[in-house]
Amino acid sequence: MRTKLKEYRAKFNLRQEDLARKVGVRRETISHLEKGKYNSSLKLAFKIAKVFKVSIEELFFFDEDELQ
Amino acid sequence: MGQKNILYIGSFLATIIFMIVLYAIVVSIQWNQFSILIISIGLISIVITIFVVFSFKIKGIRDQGFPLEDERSIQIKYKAGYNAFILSWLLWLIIMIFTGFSGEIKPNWEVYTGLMGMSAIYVINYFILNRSEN
Repeated sequence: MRTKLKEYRAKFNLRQEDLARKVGVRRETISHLEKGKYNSSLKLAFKIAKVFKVSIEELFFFDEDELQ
Repeated sequence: MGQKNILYIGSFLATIIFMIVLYAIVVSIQWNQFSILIISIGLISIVITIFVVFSFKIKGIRDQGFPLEDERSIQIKYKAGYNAFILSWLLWLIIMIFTGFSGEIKPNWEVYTGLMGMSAIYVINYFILNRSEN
């Protein structure tokens, strides 16, 4: 899964720690999400999307070959 | 070979090596009160060290305002538990086969019963979790 989390974090001037606190996870989880090493739950995706006031599809997306 | 496969095979081999080394140490030691005392002190020190290190780590996480566990750490814990169960089951299977072929070592029926119990608990849990909300 790919994400625009880093871009949005920069746009909102948030550090990984700040975002982690806002959504109630550990900083490592945000780091792994950004690197595409972890697929978040739907609940966490909703929480993060709410922080940035965007839709989940805007933040998280799959490449076509990943969905095959 | 994938990273996960390397992890599984690596941890399995490491466990086998650890058990062989442990077995060799236990066999080579002349058991007397002094050696038992030294080993007990060593084990207790290891447990205390682990406890102290973990409590500092937990305190650090609490002070920074992060949760002790989140969905990723819980998922890792479950995966580690599952892998540990399967690998230890395989390990015991190898030991059972080894004792079965070896004429000198008598089979330990308590261990066999425990293993059967472990497998039964796994299967029961699987069916219960499969039917419940998750």
